[in-house]
Amino acid sequence: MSFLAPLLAIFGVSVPAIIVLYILKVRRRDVVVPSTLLWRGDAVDRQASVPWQRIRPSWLLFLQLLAAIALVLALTRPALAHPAALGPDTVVIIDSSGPMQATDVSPSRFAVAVVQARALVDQLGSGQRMTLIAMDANPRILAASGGDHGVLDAALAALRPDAGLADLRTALALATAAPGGGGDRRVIVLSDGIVDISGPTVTLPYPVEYRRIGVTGENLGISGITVSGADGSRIVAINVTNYGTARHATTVEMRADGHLVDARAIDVEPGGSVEVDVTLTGSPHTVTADLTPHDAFALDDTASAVVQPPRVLHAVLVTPRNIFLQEALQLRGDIHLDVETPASYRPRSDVDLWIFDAFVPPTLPAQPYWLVGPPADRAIGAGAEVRPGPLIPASAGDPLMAGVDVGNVAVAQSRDLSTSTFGRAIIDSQAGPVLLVRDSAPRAALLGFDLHDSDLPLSPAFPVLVERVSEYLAPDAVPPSPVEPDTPVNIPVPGGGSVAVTRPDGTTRTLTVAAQSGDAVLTDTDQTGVYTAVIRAAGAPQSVTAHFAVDALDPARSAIAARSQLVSVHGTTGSPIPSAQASVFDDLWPWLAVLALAVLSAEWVVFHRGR
Amino acid sequence: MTNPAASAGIVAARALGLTPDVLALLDRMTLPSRRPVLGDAGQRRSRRTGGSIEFADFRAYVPGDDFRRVDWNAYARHERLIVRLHSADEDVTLTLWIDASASMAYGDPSKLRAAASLAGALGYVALSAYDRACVASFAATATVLTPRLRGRSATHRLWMALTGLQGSGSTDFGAIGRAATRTAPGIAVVISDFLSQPGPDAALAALRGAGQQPVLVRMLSRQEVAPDLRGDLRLVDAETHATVEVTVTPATIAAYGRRLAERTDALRSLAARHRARFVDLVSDGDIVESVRACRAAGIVR
Repeated sequence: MSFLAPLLAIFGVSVPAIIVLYILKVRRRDVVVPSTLLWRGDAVDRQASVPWQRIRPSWLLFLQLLAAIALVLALTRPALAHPAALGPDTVVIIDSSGPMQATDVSPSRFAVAVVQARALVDQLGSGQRMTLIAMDANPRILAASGGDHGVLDAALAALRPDAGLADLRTALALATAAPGGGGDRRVIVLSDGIVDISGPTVTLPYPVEYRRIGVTGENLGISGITVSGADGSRIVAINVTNYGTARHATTVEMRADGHLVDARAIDVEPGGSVEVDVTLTGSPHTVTADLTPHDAFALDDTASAVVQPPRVLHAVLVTPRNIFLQEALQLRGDIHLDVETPASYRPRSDVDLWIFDAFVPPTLPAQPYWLVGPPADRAIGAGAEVRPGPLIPASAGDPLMAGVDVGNVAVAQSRDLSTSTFGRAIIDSQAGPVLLVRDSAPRAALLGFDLHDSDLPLSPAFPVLVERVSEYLAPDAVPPSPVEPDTPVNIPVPGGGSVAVTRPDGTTRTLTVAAQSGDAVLTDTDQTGVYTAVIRAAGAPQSVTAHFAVDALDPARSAIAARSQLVSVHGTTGSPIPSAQASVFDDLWPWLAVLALAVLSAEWVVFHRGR
Repeated sequence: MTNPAASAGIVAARALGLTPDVLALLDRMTLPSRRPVLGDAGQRRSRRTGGSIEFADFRAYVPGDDFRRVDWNAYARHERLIVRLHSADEDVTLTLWIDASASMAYGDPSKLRAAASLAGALGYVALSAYDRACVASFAATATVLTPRLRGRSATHRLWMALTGLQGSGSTDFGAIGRAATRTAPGIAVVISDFLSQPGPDAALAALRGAGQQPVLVRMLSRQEVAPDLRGDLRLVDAETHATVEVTVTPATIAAYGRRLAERTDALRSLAARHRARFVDLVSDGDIVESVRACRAAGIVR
């Protein structure tokens, strides 16, 4: 039952007021006199000689209190709510993201959402249409604007929860674009409200109803797992975070290649983290941390990491002399750097990365390379000299520019790359781009100015930029550290070939890579655990096997407290969409008013009988 | 042998507080007659001339007069037939109207008992002087309790009628007015607390119209004269059952006293307007004092 005007409950003070009046009321003793003729002049004197008197049971008091309570309840407009009937066109968005796997509601948030969606399907009448949309990291339409209960139920039965974060904006965009849309479209979101909040706030042109699922935010999860050190003395660091509001205890079990190697009991304060360091002996390939017992959200109770063999990147710097570039490259611990002069340059195949400074070889190598300040007499650096002015990132959010601040870098002169077809721009300026990268194999980068013509080597951004670009040009075969679920994973296959990826559940995805592409992109990373990639490069005598881990470490996912409103999305009223279910209310106040009238009538009868 | 009626009368007299001493006092009293009373032959002088020996007046003879009434000495001196007129001897009827409403049952002793005692005393005075007396009660209706009695021997019957009075019902002075025509002319003594509305105005007019000389005797209890009530009370009228909520304080008592005095003045004024006598008595007063108060007011002498 709901109260449509709860503030009017303030009139409830009338109830104690009646009681106080009864306590204060003059209670008169009956005295029979021969005549009241001479007393009638004093009849109006009602001042009590004893103001406070002990209250005594009275039918009048009881009836007056009952009438007052009925009237106050009527003022607050109590109403019985029941779900509103579906409109002619309903879009149901079912949240199938990672947090919906929480089991704080039985059997799980996702299962409850599906049950509610089925209930909506059951309400669907003739002439009404429904569109089902699954909302996870990659929202999609499950069933488009239909009224066939069988199709809709089958779509719901086939839906499985995902480990990624819900992309609400895309789901709502699909809801807008779904066929059959008219002015009477109604969107129902069955979710816990935990969605990807990046991006601008969206204002919706149609009514959106958010039905919250989930009751608790108590969750203990692994927020990080890293492996460091060399064989024989590797250390695994596990971070356990308490996302709830109460202190929790757990046991961290560490397994290496499936064998238990350590177990630690820990207590974690609300909002706090505890790091557990475990030293590994031997040379395991994978380590897995497990929190036992599992809590309501098991997805982040397990995390894996792959113990990657130490990689040594063979890079060759060909330069007349550039100490800045040489020092920056050598800051990477996994690089074996050779420095050669242009005169001694000779192409060879045992190099992972070439860096040509103020030099362009007659024939560009088949391996990844980076051209820095190419001489003007070569076609690749034939642009006119320009003054670029202040530098800016070409596109916001480019991972190559993460942590690289070039705003204060001054460049005296640079080649004009504005018309270059070398690749996409990474750093731009008023005179055009100054850093380009090419994504196709072999990967390559082109810096348009000589480092000696700028103060870039002296800025803190320089070693970071060198590391970012060199990592991009010669990436690892697979991610060296765990990636989040639903994150695309690039697997380089130089010269083309195929990649067979075995997922944690044993299923295999085979990806074919064209010769000019050079990279296989695996998008089916929705499962957490260890993935195994078997890379078969074209022409290579044998395949290469690599492992990488997918872990749900993102705090945004692990903070599973169901949100009271949908963030980053505004409804038609221009304000955030609160958790509510569209309901129809049956007002109860007329019945209460009739009751109050009946009670007052009874009170009148009782009063006059007592006179 | 003892006369049973006389014995019952003696018992009734004691119940009414009429002791031998009181009766001895009453024996020395008679009813007054403010003006000649038209009545039957009795011991009272009447305006109507009649056959008694007491000279009243002369008048010229007219045919038909009794020759025995001709004053022959006057004829000898004046040679005109003059008839001697004598006063008629008539006795007085005392009608005692007793308020027998519920309010008269209150007081200690009750107002009704005090009223009956006074009526018994006044009736004794009348009957002892060979006047006539009758008793009637009234509340919502009037009830004649005795016929017109005469002679001392009838006092027992009068007293017994008075001792049987019970207070009930509400006061309606109109009942007196309606019954006044059925009573004999004479003196009508109305004994009541006069605490009802409307008052006795119409009843007094009816009594006077019926040739009766009204007398108002107000009988209140001591509790009505000086109420001993205090606190928050709901007063219930004994006759109408109407209620009045009142908080009795000294100021309230004072206001009550003022209203009682105003009521007394209004009754006294009403009596004067109707040429009636007014006596104000309290029920716990001695019967002798009450009779003396009546004598002081001229009701008896």
